[in-house]
Amino acid sequence: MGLTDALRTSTNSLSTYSNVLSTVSRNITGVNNADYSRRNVEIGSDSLYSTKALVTREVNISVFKASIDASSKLATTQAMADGLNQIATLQGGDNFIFAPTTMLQTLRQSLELAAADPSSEMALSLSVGNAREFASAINTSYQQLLNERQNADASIASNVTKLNELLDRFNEANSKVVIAAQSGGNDFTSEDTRDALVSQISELVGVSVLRRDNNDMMLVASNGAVLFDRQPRAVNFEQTRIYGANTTGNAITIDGVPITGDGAGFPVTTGALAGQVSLRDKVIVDQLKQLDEIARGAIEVFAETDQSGNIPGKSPMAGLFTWNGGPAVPASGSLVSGIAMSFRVNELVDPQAGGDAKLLRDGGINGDADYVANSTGGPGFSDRLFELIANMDGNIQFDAAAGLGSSYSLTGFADASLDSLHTLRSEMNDRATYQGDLATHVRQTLREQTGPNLDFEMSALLQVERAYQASAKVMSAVDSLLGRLLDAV
Amino acid sequence: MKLDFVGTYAFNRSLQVNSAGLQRELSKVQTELATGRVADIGSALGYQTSRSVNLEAQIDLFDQIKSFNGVLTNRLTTMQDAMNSIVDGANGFMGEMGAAIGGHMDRSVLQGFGDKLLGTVTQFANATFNGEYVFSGVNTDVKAVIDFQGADWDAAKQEIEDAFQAHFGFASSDAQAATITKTDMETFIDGPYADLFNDTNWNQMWSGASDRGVRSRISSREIVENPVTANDAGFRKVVSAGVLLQFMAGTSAGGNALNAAAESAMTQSANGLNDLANSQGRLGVIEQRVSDAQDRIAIQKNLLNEQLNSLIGVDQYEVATRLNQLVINLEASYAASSKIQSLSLMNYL
Repeated sequence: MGLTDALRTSTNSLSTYSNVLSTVSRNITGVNNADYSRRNVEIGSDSLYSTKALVTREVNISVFKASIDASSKLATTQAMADGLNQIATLQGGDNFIFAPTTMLQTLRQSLELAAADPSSEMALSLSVGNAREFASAINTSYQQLLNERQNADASIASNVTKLNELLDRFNEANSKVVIAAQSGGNDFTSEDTRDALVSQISELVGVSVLRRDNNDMMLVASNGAVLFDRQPRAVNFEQTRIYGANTTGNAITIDGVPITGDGAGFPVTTGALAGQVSLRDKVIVDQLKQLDEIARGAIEVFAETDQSGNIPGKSPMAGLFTWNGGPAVPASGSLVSGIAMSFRVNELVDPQAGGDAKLLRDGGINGDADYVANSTGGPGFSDRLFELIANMDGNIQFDAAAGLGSSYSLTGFADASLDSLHTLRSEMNDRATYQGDLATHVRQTLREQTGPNLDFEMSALLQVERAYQASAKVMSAVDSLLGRLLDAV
Repeated sequence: MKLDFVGTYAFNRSLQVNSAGLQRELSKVQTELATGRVADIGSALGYQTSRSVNLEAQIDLFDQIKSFNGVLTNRLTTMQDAMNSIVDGANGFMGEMGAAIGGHMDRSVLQGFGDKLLGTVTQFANATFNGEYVFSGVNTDVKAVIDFQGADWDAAKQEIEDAFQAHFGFASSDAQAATITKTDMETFIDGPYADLFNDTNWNQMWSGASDRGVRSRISSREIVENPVTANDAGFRKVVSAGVLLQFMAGTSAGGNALNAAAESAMTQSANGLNDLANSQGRLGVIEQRVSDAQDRIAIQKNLLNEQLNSLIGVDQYEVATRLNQLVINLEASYAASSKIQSLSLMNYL
């Protein structure tokens, strides 16, 4: 072993240390990047006299898997919770002022007021006014819920666009990784990008990752549909811009196969898209049906019956409330889709529309004398008003299709509707909190384990600096030895 | 070698995450402290949400019924007072008549007695409350008893005259009227004259009242009907007595016949007083029920308030303590942040 060997060794070590230095400095740059995985550098012997810096990327596959799992579940719950909170806000938040229950209670109170002073037309007009507010709250809520369906549909459309874009970028990053692997190298930056993209994709659709030769990745949605296999698959969705009472939203398809809705054998259940689809097709639709039933129930409860005593009597006619099919009363116990939109106070009893509020007290709103309950016409007659109040608490049939069961009073059904909304909302909010904590925790663990630590990198930097100095020192020593030798010759 | 170190990003971020959570909690606690209620009722109660809405509505309804009952009590008092006045009037009438009967019946005196009694009845039977005739039953816009003057009175007098002619065969002003015996007169009064005050004729000639009284809710479950209207026997008998004297004073009937009329008027008002006492009794029962209902409502309202409070109320002391703890936590977290941020090898190199 001669001086030349020593020189070669130190040159080699200089190159190794500059390699280490570059990795350390890259780690330092990545300290504040959430997606950066630390590069680990180990110095090993290459051949007899030389060393080599071996750079690897810190990965923790199981924590990574847990992290994308947690984010996709959180995204589903969060989408549902956001939608439910929005519906609750539309109903007046903590005061529940626009909830049908509250409006019905207000109507009942004003009917009591009218019954306590039946000769007062003011009190009767007030009752009709409250009925009008109830009807318009039902109309408005219905329209708002349809808008919410439109919004959910629009969010699905924009998320599908985003998903396709993410898959394209994933494709780009994945090919770089695979090409680098095929040529025996590494493309750590693209791997960072690829992992970040998987996280983002899993927030939209829950995915599992299959790793293959050459560090290739395949993405499979939680229901088994392939999202990425060497090439991104086309995710399609056609947006429905206007929702009416009977509109069915389109399904999301991958390569033409539906992954949501009734057409999908196993629909996807995690990710924001699953949450938004369930909001659009189930949660809001149930609310709409319940509003329809409340409107239909109100028409039935306030309907007028034949008072003439004739047998057979005439069939009931719409009283205080009516609809497009009025003055007939809709069939009991069966849902009339969209009735909440045409639900309104009967013009004939509404003083604002030129009607007579006294008909509310006397009956016979539709002008047929056989339906008049106050046969003598005395203005102190309160029986009909008390009857209406009692009817609000009397059981009638509701359509089980509205999701609440069938035998309720009108007020009971409105209560049940409010309760079911808040039960679901409360559950989703609790779950969102819990899943949010979990996702934060898992993500935190992932970053703790794979992120670079500044202090560690700085001390590594010092170490490398010293090693570099030492190698340089060796070079200068060899140089001076060689110099002396040459001088001596 | 990695094990000893924690990613710097995660390290710094954990403080942010924690203080964000604390701040969220803090804003919730602040709301609870300000309102005395849980911060998000729907989310806190879930399937019980409608209970809180209904409890509030029920409490409102009880307040409403309570004020209705106050009004109803006043209405009932008005009725009692009016009936007391009628009773006083009838008693006075009987006292004066008692003194007059037996002696010479002066027509103008009889006329005066009749006028006075009818005046009292008209004034008090047509008592109003809130612009409604309280003795008219559900026909609150019609007078309970006609004014004894004008068209209604003329028509009624004509009916009596017709009945008189049909019974005796001559007009009341005819000289033959002076020959009517006491027995004949009694037959007329108990027969055709009494018929003029039967159910049908009473409502046609004398009163706009309905048999049905006004119904009112006095508690969440009870609806009561006002039991007294001018159709009650007491009113009819007193009116009948007054009208009898009024009419007979205007006829040519002789002393015996007038005596018969005066005695009948006495009897009728005595019976009438008895019936009025009955009506007052029934009214008193309702008054008692209303007052009982008021007491019950006060108790029920308290219970409902307690229920509502246990459902959505928060313990102010507990919340205030929680607020303090959160503030301390948050301050500690800030202090830790600033310490940890300044703790870097960079500062020592």
